[in-house]
Amino acid sequence: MKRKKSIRTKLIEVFILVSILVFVVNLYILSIQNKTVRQIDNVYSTNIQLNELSGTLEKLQDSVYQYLNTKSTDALESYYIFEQDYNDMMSGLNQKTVSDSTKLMEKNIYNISVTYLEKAGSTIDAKRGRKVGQYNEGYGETKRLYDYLQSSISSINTTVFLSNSHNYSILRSTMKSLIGVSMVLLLGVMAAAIIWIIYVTGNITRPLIRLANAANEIAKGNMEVDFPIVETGDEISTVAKACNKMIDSIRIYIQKTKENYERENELAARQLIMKNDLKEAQLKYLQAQINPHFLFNSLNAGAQLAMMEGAEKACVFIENMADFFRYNVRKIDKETTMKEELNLVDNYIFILNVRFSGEIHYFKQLDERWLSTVMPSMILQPIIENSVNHGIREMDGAGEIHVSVYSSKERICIKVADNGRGIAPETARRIIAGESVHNDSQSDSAGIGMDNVINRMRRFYNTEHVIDINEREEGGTEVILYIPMQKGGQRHDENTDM
Amino acid sequence: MKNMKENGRRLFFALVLIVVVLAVMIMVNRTLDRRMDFKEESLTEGDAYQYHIAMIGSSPTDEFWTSVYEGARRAGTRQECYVENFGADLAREYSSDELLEMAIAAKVDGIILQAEQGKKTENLINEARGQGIPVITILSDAPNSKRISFVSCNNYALGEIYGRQVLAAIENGGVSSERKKRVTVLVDSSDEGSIPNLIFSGIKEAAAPVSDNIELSTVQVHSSGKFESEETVRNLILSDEYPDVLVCLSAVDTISAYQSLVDYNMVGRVSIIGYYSSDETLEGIKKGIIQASVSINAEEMGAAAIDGLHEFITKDYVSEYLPVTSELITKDNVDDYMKEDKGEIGL
Repeated sequence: MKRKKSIRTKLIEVFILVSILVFVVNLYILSIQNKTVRQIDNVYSTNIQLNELSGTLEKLQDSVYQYLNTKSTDALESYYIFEQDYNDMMSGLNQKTVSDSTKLMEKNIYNISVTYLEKAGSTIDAKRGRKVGQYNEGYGETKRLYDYLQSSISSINTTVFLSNSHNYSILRSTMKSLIGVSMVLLLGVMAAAIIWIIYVTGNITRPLIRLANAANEIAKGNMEVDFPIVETGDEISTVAKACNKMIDSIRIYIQKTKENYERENELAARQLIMKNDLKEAQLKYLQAQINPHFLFNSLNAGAQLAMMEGAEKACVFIENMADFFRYNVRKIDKETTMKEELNLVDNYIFILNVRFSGEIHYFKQLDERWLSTVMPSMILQPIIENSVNHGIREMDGAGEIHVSVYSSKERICIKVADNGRGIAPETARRIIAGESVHNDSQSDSAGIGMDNVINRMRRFYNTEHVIDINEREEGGTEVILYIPMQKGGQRHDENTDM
Repeated sequence: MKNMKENGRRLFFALVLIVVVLAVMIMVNRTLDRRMDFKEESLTEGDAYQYHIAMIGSSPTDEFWTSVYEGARRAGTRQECYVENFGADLAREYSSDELLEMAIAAKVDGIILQAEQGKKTENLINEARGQGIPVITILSDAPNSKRISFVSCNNYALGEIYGRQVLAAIENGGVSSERKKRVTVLVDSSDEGSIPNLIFSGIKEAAAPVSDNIELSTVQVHSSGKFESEETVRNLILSDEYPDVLVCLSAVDTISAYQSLVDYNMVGRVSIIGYYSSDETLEGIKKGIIQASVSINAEEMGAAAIDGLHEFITKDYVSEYLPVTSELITKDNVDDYMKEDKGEIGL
């Protein structure tokens, strides 16, 4: 029941049936054409018979004349032969009284022929008996009867010929129309066959097209579509079922993949959070290391002590230290202004000069308009620290540090220049690229490395190009920080409570 | 389930196709058979008759003769006799005698003959009787032969009818009598015997009251030659001494005379007294160009001949003379004939 008729069976069935149909129709057409042709052949047969009759009669009359003329046995013999022939032919004629004029004429011919043969027979007998007068008269009569017969036969021949011609023309026209009918019949059968074939092939291809449509729909991403199953009972429903099985398993597979993917995503997110936590913990740890409050309070106490004991210089030094640390305590995680940053640098240089007994000459060249520019804290101090540590400290003679603030091309520039040892371009490139210059950057005493400064600048201003590090022509290093103009000057009152 | 339905539909379709093709085939076959079935058809229609009667006239295609033949044929159908218009179907034309000889040789069961005058005809009639074939003469007789009967109207009475019409014509024409009225009778040359004489004397008798005013003459029309009738009538009418009254004793002469009057503008100067009720004659009467026509009921004549023959064949006896009534067609009753004629044609 499941596989009733395969496509092959269907196609074979259609093909065989159509072939048989066309064959039968052709056979039929051929047979009726044959029949018509036979009829046409037969049309003039009556004329032929009549002509034969007439011919035989003529020979008969000839032989009678010959016999009467010469009395030859040959003539007599041929007379008997022709008489026999003629008798045979005569018997085919109608002998009944009917209203059809041709048939009636046949009857007349038959009867006149009988009379004629009697007369001819008696004339021949008379000739044998040498009754001259009798056979002369007899010949006259046979001659007359012969004329009548020939005339009748030719008349009937003409009539029959006319009707035969008529029949012939009918047959011809029939033949013609037969060709037309045959054409129509064949065309009709062909049309029916074509319709049928279209219908059957349509039945075969329609499910295929629906399958293809479903496949296209699936290709567009709609996985919910099922392959339609048309119960044609042939291979196509088998294919459709197989396709459905396939799409089911694909769906399950997709589901599984999706689940895996989600699980992985979750894992990655967790790892990210862990990393963040780690960073935070590191930061907290660093902050805890400094503990500036304690330092700051201690320094303030030290400054008061120095004041009371009259140690003026120690007091200033300790106050500067206290300011330096207070700034650190307050501003490490907040934005500040350029002015405050420069103050911190002043503090830092003072401390260093006390430490290194005034070796560092500090010069400032500031454009006052930009001093209130907002910027992240703890930017300048690490740069100064680097200049001192890696530039000035490792040289002989007095170190110089020039800080200048100016504007150029929509940007505010802070330039820190020293006359120290200078920097290799490769090192400068690596610093800007954020790669570690020292193997143990973590153990650097200042705590805040250049990479940290650069990163914070970048993040704060949301631009990549924030720093340039160059070696100066007259010796030493210069570091230029770039601050986009629009970011500056908007919060110049931040530090009023300082 | 669906499969079954589908299969059923396909089966149905195939069946319908086959049935349609078969139907078309059968239809074509039938039409073809009907179209090509020539001979069988004529055979079944032609019933067999018991007797074969040959009818021989001097001119088988003449209208009057055809009417006589039709009457005979119709009467014959009722009595198992098939009447053949002998010689009509032959390609060549034969004389009555030849046709008679042929009919005898053809061993028919009876002969109706418009006899020609002469010994030969009589001999042939006798020969037919010798072979057991009864012969009835019609219209013209062979009184000296062994014919069994003669069918005709009373010729003397016919003559009287003509005579009365001549009389009427003379009287109508007025009595402007500086000259005698010329009355010409057209006589068929082949009827040399008694009939024209009888008619002629009938005319003479009837016209006796005005015999002083008329000049009665006969003109012979040679019916044996073709187209003789028209020529003779034309010559007659165009001559200086054209007849005032033209009496025609045959249907053809009447039509010729009528046509000549019209063609040569002699209408009103010549009165025609015609014979038979052919279409042209009736038309002439209706137009007043032909004064009157004497008519024998041709069909009645044919029927009488057949009845006589049948009677003889079955009862071996028939009366020697079978009379047929004659009628006069004038302007008053011409409409009846016209209708009658048409009716007959319709039949």
